[in-house]
Amino acid sequence: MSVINNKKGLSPVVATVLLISLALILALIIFLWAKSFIGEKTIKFDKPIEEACTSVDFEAEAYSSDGHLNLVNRGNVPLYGLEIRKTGAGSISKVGTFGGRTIDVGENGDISLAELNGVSAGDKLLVVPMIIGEQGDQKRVYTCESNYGKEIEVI
Amino acid sequence: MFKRGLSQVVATVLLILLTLAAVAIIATVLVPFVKNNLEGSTNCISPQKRFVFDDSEYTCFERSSGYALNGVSVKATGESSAEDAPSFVLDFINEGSSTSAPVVDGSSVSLTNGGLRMISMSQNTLDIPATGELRTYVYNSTVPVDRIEIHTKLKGGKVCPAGDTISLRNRPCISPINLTLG
Repeated sequence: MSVINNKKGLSPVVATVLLISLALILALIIFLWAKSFIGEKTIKFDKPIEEACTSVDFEAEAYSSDGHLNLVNRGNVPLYGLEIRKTGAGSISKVGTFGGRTIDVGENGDISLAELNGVSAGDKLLVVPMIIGEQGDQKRVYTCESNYGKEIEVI
Repeated sequence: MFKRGLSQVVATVLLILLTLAAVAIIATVLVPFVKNNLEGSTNCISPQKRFVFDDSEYTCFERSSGYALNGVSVKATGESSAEDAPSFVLDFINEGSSTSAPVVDGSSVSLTNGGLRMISMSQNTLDIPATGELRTYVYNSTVPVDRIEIHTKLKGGKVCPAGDTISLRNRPCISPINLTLG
């Protein structure tokens, strides 16, 4: 009986290197593909920005007599702006968005009721805070969920 | 020693040609096919929750002799955008049968049986809520519906699977709430 010593083919080292390379390329392709499904989160204070909304605390009141909506920031988060919604029977409608009017912690600010669309005494308003976070290198404005807003009545 | 068969050079050339042919087929047929099908199956992930029901007191039914009014409050969340998800479809389900009512911004309201209107009778067209807003729609039927589903409709016309569902069973409107506002 003769033993054929066939030495043709890939050496074990080359075969291993090829397998590892293939595995790495496949992993890279799958990672790049899956990454497109996951949106980059907006961050504030090293946490998702939604969590920063829990630290928002403010007081608001609106007087038709002096025509202003006054607001005091009592929380730990500077307010970048406000979104004002008018609540009615079975509807909530946006009547004004005021970005870029930062109200720092402990400070107060005001909005003229004339800037709001169709608001008068007796109307109920939902004042929703807007805060600013970071997404990568960019600043992003985020409007908190309505449950972090304050419902007030125009007196 | 027999030397029949392919020479090494011819075999190598054939293998290279086969590889090139395989790459060409994958690039021109398989990749676009998989890409198109993936887009179709993933483009509803975020917009599906664009419109959800609000558990408001106006989500209720009123029953009179011969007809019923079914009120449902819909709010627009921050998921997706009005550009990508401009409208939605409401499915009114009752004992195994269902009726679909497309809600398109600016389309006419209907006061007939099977029609949809806004809660305010003074509004002649349907209105889609913007992000953070809420609207209440009233569906006219002969009997109160059991369940309502909401399906976001993408700008390309694709209707997504139900993003939310709500039951109207045991939810009669409680006075002073009524579904016919002036």
